[in-house]
Amino acid sequence: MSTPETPDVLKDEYKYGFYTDIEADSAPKGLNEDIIRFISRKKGEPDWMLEWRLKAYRGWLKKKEPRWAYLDYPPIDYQDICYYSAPKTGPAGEVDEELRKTFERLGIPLDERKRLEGVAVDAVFDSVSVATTHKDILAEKGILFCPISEAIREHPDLVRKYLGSVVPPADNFFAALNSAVFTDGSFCYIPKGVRCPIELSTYFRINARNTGQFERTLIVADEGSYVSYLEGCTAPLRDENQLHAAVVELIALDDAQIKYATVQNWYAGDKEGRGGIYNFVTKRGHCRGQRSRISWTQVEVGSAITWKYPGCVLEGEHSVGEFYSVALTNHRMQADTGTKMIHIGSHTRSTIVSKGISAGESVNSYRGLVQVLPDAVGCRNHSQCDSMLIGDKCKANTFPVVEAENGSAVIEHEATTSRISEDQLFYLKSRGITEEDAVSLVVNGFCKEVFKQLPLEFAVEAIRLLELKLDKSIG
Amino acid sequence: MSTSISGNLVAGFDEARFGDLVNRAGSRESRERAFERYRALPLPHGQIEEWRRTDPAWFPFGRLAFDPALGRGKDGAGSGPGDDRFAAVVTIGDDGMSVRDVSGAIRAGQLEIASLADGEPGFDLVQRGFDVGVKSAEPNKMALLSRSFWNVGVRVRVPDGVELERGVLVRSSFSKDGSLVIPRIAVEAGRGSRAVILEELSSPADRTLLVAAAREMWASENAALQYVALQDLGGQSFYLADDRAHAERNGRVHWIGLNLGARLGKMNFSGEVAGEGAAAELDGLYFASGEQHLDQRTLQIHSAPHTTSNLLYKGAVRDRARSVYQGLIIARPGAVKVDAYQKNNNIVLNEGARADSLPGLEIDTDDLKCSHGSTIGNLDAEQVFYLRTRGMDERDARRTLLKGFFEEIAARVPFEFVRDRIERHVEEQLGR
Repeated sequence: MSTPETPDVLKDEYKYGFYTDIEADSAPKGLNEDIIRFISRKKGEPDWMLEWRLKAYRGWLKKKEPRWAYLDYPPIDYQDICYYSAPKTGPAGEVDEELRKTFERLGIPLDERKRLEGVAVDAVFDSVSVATTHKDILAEKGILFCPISEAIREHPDLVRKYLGSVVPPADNFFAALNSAVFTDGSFCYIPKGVRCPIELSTYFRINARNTGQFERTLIVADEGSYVSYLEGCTAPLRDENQLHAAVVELIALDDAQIKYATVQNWYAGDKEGRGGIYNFVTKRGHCRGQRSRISWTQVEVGSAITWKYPGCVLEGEHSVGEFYSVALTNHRMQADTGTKMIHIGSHTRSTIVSKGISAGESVNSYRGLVQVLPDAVGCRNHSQCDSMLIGDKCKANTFPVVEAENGSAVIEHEATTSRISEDQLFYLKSRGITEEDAVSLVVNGFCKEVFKQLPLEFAVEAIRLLELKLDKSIG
Repeated sequence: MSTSISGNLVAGFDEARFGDLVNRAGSRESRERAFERYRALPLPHGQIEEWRRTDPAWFPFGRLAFDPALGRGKDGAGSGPGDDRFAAVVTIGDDGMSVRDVSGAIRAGQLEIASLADGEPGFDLVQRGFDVGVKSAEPNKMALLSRSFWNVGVRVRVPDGVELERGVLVRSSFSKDGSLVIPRIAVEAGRGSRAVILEELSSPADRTLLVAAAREMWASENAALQYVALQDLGGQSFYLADDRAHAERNGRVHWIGLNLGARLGKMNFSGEVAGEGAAAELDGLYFASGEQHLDQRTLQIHSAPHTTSNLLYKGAVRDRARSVYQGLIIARPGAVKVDAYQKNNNIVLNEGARADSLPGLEIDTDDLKCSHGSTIGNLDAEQVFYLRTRGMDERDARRTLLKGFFEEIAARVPFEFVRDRIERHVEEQLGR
């Protein structure tokens, strides 16, 4: 159980599965008020933040872990997890050589010279943020983009105003846990009328053993602003399960637009279902202002367990919520994911496009809610949920809920489940394309509606990821 | 465990009552089987997804009088106009059940109708629900309550190879204020037979009573069975239903559930296509107005290859009424080449009315085609406008469109007077 060595076969399936041997500064295992004080002290947080955390922790103690999802996993021992781990770095401002190499292997250069063109990156390693690039360009526009712990110290007014206003600490079990122990994540504030000129991105990496990652992201788009944000995740291959419980809050004021994209590729466990990340995430966007717009795009290809429902609360009149998702499960992975669209304001619109692909012995469920409140006039929703099955041992479920409390709402929902088309595969093969390439082409076509929402580089990456994940699951 | 039977919902439906009932009403074996499961299950409550929108405590079990065995009324009684259109008429009422052999089909051995108290059907669909081995297909506490405590029951069987020319009418009409009746109807279509059953369920508008119905339909190999259930209870009545259908190899089941009445209704339908080539057509129509609350749940279970199921439920709500539709398609391992469809359309006629729709898929195999669609909306404003440009007033235009909306289901009902009844209902509702 203790060696991080992995068999060769697995290596090419999950190429981010390496482990970086780096000295880490960790908290002892377990969770109690002292651990929370320890985390808060490590982060140099003001008293109000500590109080906020403790209040969330006390609320969490009273909550029960939700078990309604279509997931099957052994009980999680919350006292057997380390809630804080930070790489020991050299002199301030310099990124450790090992860390730099790690992120380079992941394809994220932190050096000034080789930076990703047009993308500002905040890299989070276990519990802390190690580097944020492109700070100067952003500062020129007045955009704040920094680790959330830095924001708590340096922009306390903004953080206090918005933190927990979309996902309150008492929202659910995992949100309460996250609120108590969250360690790092990104904070982003786009001032009035500013269009963020580059993509903002955070890269999350779990490295240490027995560590949970509890990231917290807060994005505020002030009136008339625009931002596009991307998030990527990986973790080393390990036999045991690791917990990841994140909270992401998006706030769009009048006429603002936020595009949020995730490529989630946490380690998913091996073919027999050993190891992998338990991913319990609460993500919610709040279209607070009129004509605001929030769009979620997610490509979920990792994690042993996924429990995630990015949603939009459409409060401002004429606001728009969008959800585009590709969720792929293979081997013994289990995903219960979908979205919530809560129409509070009049003339709000939402679109849901969900594509689920199940292969191997995996279980892939879509669970969604579209709710129109009694005072919301003239709301519109269209949902499309398609599932593709590859192999006869996998499961695909669809559980949409539509609640219209206002007579003027127009809501449509469509869902299909079918096997990957034999005819299409046959046609492609008859043109000399190998079976694996044919499957990959058909899958790409199936997911196209979602991929076209992603920025180009990420769309290419996402397609490659799917190919990699489906490799060896055919035939 | 016996302490779990308390609270409002199933107040009075305990061991003591069960013991008394089994001694008087017969069918001991099947009742005991159901009662054992019934006892073990927890009470339904608002935390279960199925009951989140309809509180089980709204059903006034504790306040109603229950007669453990209604027995058998006088045969030949209870005739009504139009009875001669049917092969036989079964009347179920406050004083039990009776049978009238209108066309002589029973005498000729073309049809068997008997009281369930005199013998169980040759199948047990409640047990089957557990045997299927899918958690969401297991009968719930209400289904088991009706199978343990039914106080009037009828069994209809069409022998192998008989193609009944005319249908069987089951006229269920209850009028005793403050009463609770649990009618159970079991229909079996023998191999290669054909049968149509029409059930009319009614009660006077001013009586408070609860009907907790249980229906079982079995289509044997190559049989075709159609069951039309027209529920038109009075505005003070409560309605619970647990209906189960089963089709064997190449058998066909066509269910049409028409729900127009009742103050509060919770209907559960579960259909299994269990043999190769079996097919199920499931149609539903509901119209709720005033303070009505109608909640329906359907299951389409595919447990054999080459099976099809096609579901279409259409409903309208107006005033302060609310409707709920929950549906689930289940494809069990090995059910390949399956084609399943589920569609639910809702018209919300005014603000204040509410329709919830929860279609669902639970798929356990890969070689199939399953889809569902659901819509909620008001009548199309452009269509109303178009009709008005042709000289119709707004009310007529809306009435015409709503009739058109329901026509898709109404047209599938093989009895003209039932189709007229639906049309009249729409006119009465929108004419006000």
